[in-house]
Amino acid sequence: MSREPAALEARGLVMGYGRRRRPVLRDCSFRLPTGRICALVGPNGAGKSTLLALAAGVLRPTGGTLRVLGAGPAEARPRIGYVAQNRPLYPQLTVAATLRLGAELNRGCWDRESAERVAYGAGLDPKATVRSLSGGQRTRVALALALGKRAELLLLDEPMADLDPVARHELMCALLAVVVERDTTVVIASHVLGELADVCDYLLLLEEGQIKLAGESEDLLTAHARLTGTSPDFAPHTVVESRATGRGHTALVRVQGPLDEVSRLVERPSMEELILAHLRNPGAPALFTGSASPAPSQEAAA
Amino acid sequence: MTTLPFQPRGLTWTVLRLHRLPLWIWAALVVAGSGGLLWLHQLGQDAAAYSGHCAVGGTGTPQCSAGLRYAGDELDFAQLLAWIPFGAACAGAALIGRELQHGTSVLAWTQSVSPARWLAAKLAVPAVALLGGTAALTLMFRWAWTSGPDNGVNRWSGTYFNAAGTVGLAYALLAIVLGALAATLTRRTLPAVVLALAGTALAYTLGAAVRPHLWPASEVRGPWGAALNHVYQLDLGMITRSGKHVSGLDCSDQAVPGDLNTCLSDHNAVDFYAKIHPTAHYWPIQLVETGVVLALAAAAVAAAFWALRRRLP
Amino acid sequence: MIEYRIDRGTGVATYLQIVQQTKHALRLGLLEPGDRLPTAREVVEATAVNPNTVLKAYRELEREGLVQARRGLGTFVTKSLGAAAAQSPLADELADWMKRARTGGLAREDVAALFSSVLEHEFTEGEQ
Repeated sequence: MSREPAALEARGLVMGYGRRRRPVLRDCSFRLPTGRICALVGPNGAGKSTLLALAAGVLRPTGGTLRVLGAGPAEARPRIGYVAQNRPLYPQLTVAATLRLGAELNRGCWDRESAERVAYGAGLDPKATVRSLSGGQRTRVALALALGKRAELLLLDEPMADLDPVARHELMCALLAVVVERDTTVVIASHVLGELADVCDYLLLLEEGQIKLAGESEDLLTAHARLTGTSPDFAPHTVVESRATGRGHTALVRVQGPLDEVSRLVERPSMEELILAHLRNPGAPALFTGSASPAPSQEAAA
Repeated sequence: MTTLPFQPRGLTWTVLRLHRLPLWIWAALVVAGSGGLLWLHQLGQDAAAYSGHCAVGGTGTPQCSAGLRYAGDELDFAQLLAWIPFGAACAGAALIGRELQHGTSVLAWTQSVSPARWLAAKLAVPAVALLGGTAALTLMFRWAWTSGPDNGVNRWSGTYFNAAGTVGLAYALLAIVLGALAATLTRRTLPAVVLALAGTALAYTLGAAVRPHLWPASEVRGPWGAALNHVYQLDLGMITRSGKHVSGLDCSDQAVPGDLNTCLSDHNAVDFYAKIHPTAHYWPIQLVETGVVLALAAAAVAAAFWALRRRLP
Repeated sequence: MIEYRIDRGTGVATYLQIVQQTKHALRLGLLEPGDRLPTAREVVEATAVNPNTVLKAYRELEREGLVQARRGLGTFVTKSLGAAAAQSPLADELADWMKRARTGGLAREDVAALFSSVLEHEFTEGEQ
């Protein structure tokens, strides 16, 4: 089977900083098809930032392979936009000079209109130096640089963390407007799902350096159910999390076979519930939907 | 920047814009240094005009003090020029180390500039500015120095050798490259600066140690005269009857100074010898040393690129 | 033009909210045949929902024959939803059923629970 190149395809990805420390990513494999808006969710320290830095081609993995837009991360670098968590910007430049820098470094393909709309959206003074900006304003400028580049894949590390709710909504709208026109693939890393639930149609749940859930949000939700009944036995379904509530038992299960709707209340879980249940129960097996499983490697196929 | 004869674009514009302040400071230093050397040239001409009337040490007419001042200021300028590589080492380490430490390099790399191109530009632009300024100052220094009176300075003295020839340029280039290498190795500003300064000091020391061996030395025989004051003295001694060269023998322990023949026979020797580099060896040695230092700089550039790529896919 | 308001607290899927609000606008006469629905870009720019969600809602509306997508032009309303449902025989049957439930001793809450459970069962099942 030949599939079009994925936006990201990781196979056995390992990343450690130093020999004595425990690796941040351990045998991490997944696939993200193009055109999706993907939430990369996981608790702090799960390896989200490391994964994005590897995808952006600014770190070399310790082991395994990572393909970005069908190429190596280094070759794909001109086609991606990356907003790192610490929002690296030159402190001595003004906002206007920072955008000029983006234009100079991307001659011929710079989208000045989008960049300026995002940067100056909330009345940011072009003559203000980056040094004097607040965290949220820096995010705005960093995002403007990433969008101005007309990237095919945007890697955004905690883009909304230091924004107030109004700015958050406004920036997300501006981001999506650009994304929908260019059919950009977006990966948004965050430790909470929150309002990303409506924005994203793909989920990568990262925990302790490994992918626990990967796939279309819709498929992942369909694969799970919330069952309430009097019996503590939820077979044949795989129980992710269960809890006794008075006389009843409630469980979030991975559906295996038909659901018995007579003796149990069957509910569709929310994405937030699904993620929390998996984070609280690290023992639950990983789940990859069809489009999220990496293609078998060349050696294995031969 | 509108006064520049060319309109810098892309990455060049970026590097110039990012390091506008250090570049302006360097330009101001070069202008100030040139002004000072112009003044030194004037002082040298005054001193030369009166040197015939003055005793050694600048006594005689009131103008004789010009000669004394000239000699002192000349040495100051030579020392300043010889310090340029240390400034270059700091600049190289800081310009690149700061970006790696604060992650701004990542911004450039993900704005369609490959890390190799980034490092090349970050090295090339400051190096061109550094070499241009240093070359101008070196030429001005030679001009001011050669126009002044001969005040007994040995052109081979380390400070003058570095300040008045091509090796000064080579060391400046090596130093900025060592700064870049230290920065890519440590990825921190402060350790990189310390490492680069140590590397530059080591290069200077090694250069001085190796310099005499870069060109075959000449040997002159006979009593040592004032002519030796202006050459590079490597080894002084006597030749024994058996024809052996014994280093370090001299007539300082002679009871009656001046009688060289007694001195020779006392030491069982037949003649004096001096291993030297004559003035004719000055430029060959300058050029060979420049070549060696440039080769080292090239190796350091290669190492800096390797160190940068080591962590990148 | 219609403006969608996405309520994140209801638990109703976002695409269904868009479908329902469109239908509601049709019923109220805010949208009439020939009107253009906002483009996906316009919707995401105003609501910050996933563009594919908007497209999914529009596909659903198209499947129901309410709108039609014209390539490069946009999505247009093709049918209006009158208040016909209120006058249909179904309304009489429902009123009749309610009367029987009350005389049968069911409280208002019981009827509401029963109604919404059957509604949920019939309609979410049917739409998937």
